[in-house]
Amino acid sequence: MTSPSDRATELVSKAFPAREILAVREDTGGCEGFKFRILIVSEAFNGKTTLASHRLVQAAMSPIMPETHALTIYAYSPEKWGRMAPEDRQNAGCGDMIEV
Amino acid sequence: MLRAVSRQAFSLLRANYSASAAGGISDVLRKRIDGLVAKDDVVVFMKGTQQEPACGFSRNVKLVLDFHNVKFQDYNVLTDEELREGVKVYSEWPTIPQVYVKGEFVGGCDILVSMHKDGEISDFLDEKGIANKYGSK
Repeated sequence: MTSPSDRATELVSKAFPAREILAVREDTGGCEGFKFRILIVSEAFNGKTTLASHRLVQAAMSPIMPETHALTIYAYSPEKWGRMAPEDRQNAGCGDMIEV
Repeated sequence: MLRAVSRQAFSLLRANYSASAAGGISDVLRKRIDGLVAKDDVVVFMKGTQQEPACGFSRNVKLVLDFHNVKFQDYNVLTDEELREGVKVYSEWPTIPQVYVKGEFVGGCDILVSMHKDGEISDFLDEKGIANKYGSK
């Protein structure tokens, strides 16, 4: 039985083969459906607005969305991610998602 | 009891999600949502109301808009199943809350919060001609 985070990781990996960072956290906590947090850094987001970037990630996640209650997305281009200091990443809410 | 109700609501949501993903929404519903997002400068489709948000994500959107003294019209999707599923298709956005400014989809909770944290929200609202606490107008 594949875990929800494995399924999500597989979906996003397939959609963004060239990503630099991908981290998926899932915390259902007895709620109705999965609660995902996804951090992805990829050149696919170069020059894209946050809205457009999030749409790409949502599209990748669409097969699992009917079972999903909450989806929090952190999607950055490598350039933007590189400009973010550890406290910026913490402040954005995804500082805990990568090994430091 | 509550658990049973929420499970039932969830299976309904699942059924509707696949139905809407496959078939889109009716012209009547689309026109209705067109009307809602055009009627007020800032519109939020949320779970609960601005006085009583029923979900942390909806609450965060309300807090950001309150912080910037932005008045908005709220629509509680929990009391309107048609609207709940309809806005997801209309906006091509799978989650609630959803924020519209001057008829244009801005985003959900993550985007509003990040616009707030980056400080770009005042410029954005100014550009749209929406009065806000830290704007130049």
